[in-house]
Amino acid sequence: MRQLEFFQPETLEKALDILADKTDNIKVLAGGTDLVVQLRDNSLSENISSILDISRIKSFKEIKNNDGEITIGSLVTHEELLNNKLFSNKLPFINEAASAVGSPQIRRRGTIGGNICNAAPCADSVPVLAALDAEVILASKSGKRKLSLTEFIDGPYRTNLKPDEIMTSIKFFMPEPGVGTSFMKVGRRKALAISRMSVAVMLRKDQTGIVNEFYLSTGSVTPKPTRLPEAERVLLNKEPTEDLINETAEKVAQIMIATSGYRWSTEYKEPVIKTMVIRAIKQALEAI
Amino acid sequence: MNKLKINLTINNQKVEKEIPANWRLVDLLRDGFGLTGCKEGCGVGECGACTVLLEGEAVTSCLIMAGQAQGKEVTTIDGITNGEKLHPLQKAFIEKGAVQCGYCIPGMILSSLALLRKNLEPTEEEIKIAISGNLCRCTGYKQIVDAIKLAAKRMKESE
Repeated sequence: MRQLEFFQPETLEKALDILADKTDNIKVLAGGTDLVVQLRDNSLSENISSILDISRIKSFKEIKNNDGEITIGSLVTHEELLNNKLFSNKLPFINEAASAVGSPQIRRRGTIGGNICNAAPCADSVPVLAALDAEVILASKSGKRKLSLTEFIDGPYRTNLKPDEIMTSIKFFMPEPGVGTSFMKVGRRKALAISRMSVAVMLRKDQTGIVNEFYLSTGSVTPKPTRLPEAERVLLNKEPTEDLINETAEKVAQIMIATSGYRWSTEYKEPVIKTMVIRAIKQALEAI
Repeated sequence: MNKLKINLTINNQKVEKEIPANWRLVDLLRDGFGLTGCKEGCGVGECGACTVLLEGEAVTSCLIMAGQAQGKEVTTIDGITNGEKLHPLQKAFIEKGAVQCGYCIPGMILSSLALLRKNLEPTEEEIKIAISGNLCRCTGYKQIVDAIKLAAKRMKESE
């Protein structure tokens, strides 16, 4: 393992100073569950000579609700999300996605900011946040900027984070009461499984039973987790009949094959993603 | 070599050491303090053999930079006995035949301890979740789950 200089600032200002100074050869360390492994792989860490440990910046550890505008600090762990009461009451798919991450040890250390910045296509928290149209807040010495989550993630393991920036938080608006949510994941096993496919759904029905809001996003099946408006349109403003739910699932499978190509695994993934989407929609409908 | 001066509490003892800045917590415990009860298995956070308690919570020490433990409290398997007296979890593991090769056991016991400190009446499902990040290739887990149940019962009774 390479030689490293280790910085441990306690404020964002100090962290940004260090980052601006060392831009090219520094890596930001939060929970460490991805980075510490990468540091030991020389091919992934060739140019890294410094570590900026941001895990002591207290202001990054809070979940705030400001009149329905939810701010999740970038250092909030999967375990904290899993146990959060506000979400389990109103948006339980956040808790469900957090509980699908790794193992108790990983959930305790791994952070939401790290999960997003690592930008793995299989990141469990991202499809849920994409369904909520979440935005990320990025800070640098020249100020703050806001990007939509799906704009921020550029592709597999690639983001639009600039070298002098730190993600401080994730924001989204709490939907009005009455939505149903669901999260579903398939991995090779249950604990410590990397998602091979995941689906997040949030929807609402009006008094006549018509689906008047429908957010559907996937993880792993596309290069980056994202909402699938083409599939959402199949069900939107219609009554959620068995046929239309099946048609939505069919659309998701088509998008998967169109964006990721027909692979050796498609034979398996196509029927499974369809079934997952059908179940996720039904579960969200029941949860209203 | 870049050095880092670190102060922390390990097994109730305050310690201080100058270490290479690139050390992980598992390196600090094993190479820095000779606490080889903490095992390194996969080195990528999958197997749980290096599990220790950090501020009372089970974590994999191969995924934590040593510097991140600055000022914190760490408990390893070496720190849970009371003098010569084994911890109820250690006794139960022996009695139930939960130990074969033994490599996963320090991590298993510390994950179980983190659970039992919060909940002395865990359901079987809660036990299974608590040790879901600890892999055992020998016993098939049944004896381990039985041992944790037995230890929980005894710890509850002696409360």
